[in-house]
Amino acid sequence: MPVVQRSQGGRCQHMGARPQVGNAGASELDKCREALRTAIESEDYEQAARLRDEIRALEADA
Amino acid sequence: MMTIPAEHIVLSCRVRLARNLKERPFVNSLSEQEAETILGDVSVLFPAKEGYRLLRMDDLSPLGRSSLVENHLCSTNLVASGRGGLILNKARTLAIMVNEEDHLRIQGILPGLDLQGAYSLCREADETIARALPYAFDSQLGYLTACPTNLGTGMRASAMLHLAGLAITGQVEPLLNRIAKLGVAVRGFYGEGSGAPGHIYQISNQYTLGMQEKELMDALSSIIDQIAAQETRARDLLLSKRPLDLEDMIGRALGVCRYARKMGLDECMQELSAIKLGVSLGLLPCPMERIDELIVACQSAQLSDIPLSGEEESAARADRLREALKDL
Repeated sequence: MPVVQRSQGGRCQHMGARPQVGNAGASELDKCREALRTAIESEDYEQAARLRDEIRALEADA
Repeated sequence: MMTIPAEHIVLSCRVRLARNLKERPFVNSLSEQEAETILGDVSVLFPAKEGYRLLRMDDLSPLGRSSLVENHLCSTNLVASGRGGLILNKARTLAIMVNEEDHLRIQGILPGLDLQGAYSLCREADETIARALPYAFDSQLGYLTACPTNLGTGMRASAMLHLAGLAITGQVEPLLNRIAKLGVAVRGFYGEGSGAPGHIYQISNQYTLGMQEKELMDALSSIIDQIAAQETRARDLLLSKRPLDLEDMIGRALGVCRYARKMGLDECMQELSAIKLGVSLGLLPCPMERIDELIVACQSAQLSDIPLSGEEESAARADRLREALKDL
């Protein structure tokens, strides 16, 4: 990670676009994170809460 | 203060997205077979019936390859590789390099400063590819790339700027040194490692990770606007304080172009830069497009369909300049 930080002005967390949900290579976790972003943007907090729990479960499995 | 059209200073802009396919080695470790598979898998998504063209580097002559570099459609890295390809749309505003440093370098290229427009072109192609082929992506590092300097968004936004006024007034180097500290990279006319003939500079974002695409583009646009404002001020100053020097320089440049019998590329770019400045300030009656076309038309690979010796090339360039500028 120091190499990344050195070449990226100290930053090491991606903040930009992600492969869309339909991307052939996106993992289940990536898909849930993308869906969570969409849910938050559209203020669908019920769906966001469900996705948050699902992400926690997937992260615990990983 | 005189009004100078923005496109006289910001000539063109580009956004490129670096992408790699999941479970494939990076390009420097790809086998011939894998490189061929990637080229096939990607090119099939951009069919000829929708106006796309696939140019395979191993099918092109050395002149044909150089011509693509001179038109800023692909890099010297790609033309040097025997297994790369370039996918172009009809308008040549979208150019996808396949098997360059990364599997994919998706580029949107537009005149003037329209980074958002160039990004939209890239993003559309990016989504077309992402629907069919798995990308190498990591939640923390973003899009994975061969070089850590491209991680995250994989996005390099850039603009080509003509900074003749700042160069003549000796302000260009100090200014570019200052902006280099703001996370902006300054390169020459042909990209990394090239000089800036004709006072044309490429300005781009240095970092790609830790910010959203829009933030990166907004920050760069704001810096480019400030440089363009300084260039306008420098031109204004030249016109008001040193009009005789300015007209003398432009007149001499025109004289050299109209009467020279041999012309090297660097000298040609230098003289055309002065003429471009003259047109921009209303001192020469000529449409700017003609000078911009001439800058491309005088590049080495545009002068002939067959390879020329150094002297033949200089003579062909001088012929082209004389013909194009004879009525000015």
